[in-house]
Amino acid sequence: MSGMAAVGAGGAERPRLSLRWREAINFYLFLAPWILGFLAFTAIPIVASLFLGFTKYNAISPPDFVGLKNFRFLYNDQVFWKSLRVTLTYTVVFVPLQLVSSLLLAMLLNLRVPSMRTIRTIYYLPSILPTVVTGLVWIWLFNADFGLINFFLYKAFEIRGPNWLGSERWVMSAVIISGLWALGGGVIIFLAALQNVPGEFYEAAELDGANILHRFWHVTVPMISPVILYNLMIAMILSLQVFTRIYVLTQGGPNYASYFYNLYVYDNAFSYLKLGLASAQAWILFVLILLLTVLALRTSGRWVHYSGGV
Amino acid sequence: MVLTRRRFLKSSAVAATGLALAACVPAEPSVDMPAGTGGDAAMTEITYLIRSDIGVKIQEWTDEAIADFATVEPNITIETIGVPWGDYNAKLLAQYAAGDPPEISANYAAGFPTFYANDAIVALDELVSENNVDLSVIEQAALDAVTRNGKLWALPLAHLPTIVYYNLDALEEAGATIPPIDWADTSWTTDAMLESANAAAQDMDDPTKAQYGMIFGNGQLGVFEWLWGADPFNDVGGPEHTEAYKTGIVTESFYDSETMNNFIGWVYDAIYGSSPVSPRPSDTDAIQQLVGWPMMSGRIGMAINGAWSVTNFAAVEPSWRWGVGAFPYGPAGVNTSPLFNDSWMLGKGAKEQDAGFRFLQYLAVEKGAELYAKITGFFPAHKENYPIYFDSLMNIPNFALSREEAETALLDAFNYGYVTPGKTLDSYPEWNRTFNQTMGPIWNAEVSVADGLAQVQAQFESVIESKS
Repeated sequence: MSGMAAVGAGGAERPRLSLRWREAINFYLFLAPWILGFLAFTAIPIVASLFLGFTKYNAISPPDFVGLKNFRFLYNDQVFWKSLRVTLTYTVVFVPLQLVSSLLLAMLLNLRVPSMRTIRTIYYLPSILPTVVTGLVWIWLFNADFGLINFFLYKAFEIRGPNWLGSERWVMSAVIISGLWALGGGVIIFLAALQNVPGEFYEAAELDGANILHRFWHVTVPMISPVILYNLMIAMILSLQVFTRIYVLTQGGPNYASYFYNLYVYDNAFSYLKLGLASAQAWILFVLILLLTVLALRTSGRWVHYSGGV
Repeated sequence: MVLTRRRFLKSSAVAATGLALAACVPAEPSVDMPAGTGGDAAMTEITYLIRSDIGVKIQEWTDEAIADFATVEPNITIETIGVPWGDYNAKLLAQYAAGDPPEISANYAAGFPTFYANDAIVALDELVSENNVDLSVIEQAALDAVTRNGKLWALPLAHLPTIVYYNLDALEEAGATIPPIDWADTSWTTDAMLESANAAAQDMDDPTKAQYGMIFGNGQLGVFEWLWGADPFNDVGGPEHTEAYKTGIVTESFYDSETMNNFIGWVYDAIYGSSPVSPRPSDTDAIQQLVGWPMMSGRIGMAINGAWSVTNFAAVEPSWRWGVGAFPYGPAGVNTSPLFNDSWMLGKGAKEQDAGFRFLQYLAVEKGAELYAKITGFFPAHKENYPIYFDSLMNIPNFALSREEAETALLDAFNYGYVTPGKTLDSYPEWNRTFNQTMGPIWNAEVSVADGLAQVQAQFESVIESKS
């Protein structure tokens, strides 16, 4: 039977596909579920949002092409610029703090002390807790009159703490502090990188008389610099897209002092029925992230060391 | 057939693709079919978007109403989708964008005016007439609130005035004036209320022990200014002079007016003045996180809120006696109470218009309305169900009023009310966000009232300009 598989009803031999074609078909058949999912949930929405960015669209009526009107509107919109300023301020302050804190924590967690596995697990826990839940806890902690933070400040230093979430001046600090609590993701990656630094490099440096700071600066940092770059880019992208924590903590207030970019995109899209405008905003953010990522990559040649010489 | 590696791989790939595609097919509705109707080809399914965050009573009412409706109309099944207030708009929009709007939704979040302005809902007049629906049973003011250009765009289920709630035990102990039930009692003024709050306030220096005299608030977009004889959206007088409440379109605002300064200044002094009676925002937030509506903490003498807050007393069953009273007269000699309505709409483009309206009719004027009055604790728009509502109200523990007094306090409110902006303005969420954001610095005492209101006005002007 197997030898006759290619013989058709008329007895003529069906032309067989070449091995290359058969493999290609198999390849795409296996990929098909992912490709379909990618097209339906990522590629087509991205293209559609680009088109919608040039329309007036409220999800109820068909989109109406308006050219560059959405972009012109945003250019003249005070809230747009304020939300952009808030987001960039947060990114500029938060990302370096997060990187340094994550690296320091990873170095601590890289020490050989008893129960280190348990300690590592505990430090990672905040990263897997739901943001909404931790946000509600932070609201309590930051409460001006009843919060633990102000209670501690008063008991320890007799300082009357600020109205963290209600003050235009302090709300950004509160948002940054609450963000620094969940460092687990970056810490894990730094920890893996630290554990991959060959021990003999440190031994050689020690023999050359390098102290702990020299070893950190001239061995650790260059060796893990590709991971620093990776964490930098991820932290930057995530900082520019902060949403859930702010939605729970402050709703963007007071007076737009914590009105992050994505909160404004969400409001325009789903509260104000301006999906065209929100799409234009989303594309502006995309271009901004792209530019910053390219900038980070372009400058990385000066400080990132690839051991393979890449 | 021999299962070769190639055949196995091909079959697996085809099966995986099939499964992926099958996952994209909508699941069968989870709603139970009424007994005896299973498999009937004439079954019609409609979608009903409800709020999932306003207490178990709404869910209980929904379940009971749907079960009862199944006995009335066995060929119509209801698929309910529950979403909280904050996501209500997003869900509704997503359904419209997908070309599958729900047959029935309520005027929460963006509300009826926004959906009316965007041509997203169906005018109900023809359906009302075709189905001989008797609308005279519904409170006329509630119907007026959902009428635009002479057409009816929704059917109201709840019609709710803004009233004063009070902790009778706390007020009596302090010897403070009790808010009257009589809405015509002109001796009950904002100053009288402040005096009463002053008597009730204790330990205001210590937020852990403080007994607050009152929480007044500002009303939606600051409309408690009505008591001062003005409105944020006209420079002539009260809400009756505001064109935006009739058209839904805001074209001007007057947040930096003298009256708004006087009104906000009065509320500000109640919080930060030399003898404060109201909690600061951070204290309110803390109490709110513990008990929800701060009044339920037992630490507030009086609080102003919509009549829906009766449901809080039913849920919490406080150990202290409580009551409801009339809105106070302001310096302008009026006690205009903002009126709310919860109305249900028929989605334009929804597939089952007739079945949808049938269910809407059931909810608004038939047994559904009766169950609503009995179960939810929301003041019904259906006048014949008032007795059912008051029966339920009188069953709430420690309610200090007689039935007659309760009827006076709540029913007379409608003679003094005006529909609140959240139920009349197009794009209300945007106005609300603008107002709340820009009022923050005032309520947190970071700027003076005058400077803060100037910022509010500037931001409103900016939004108005962007919409023009």
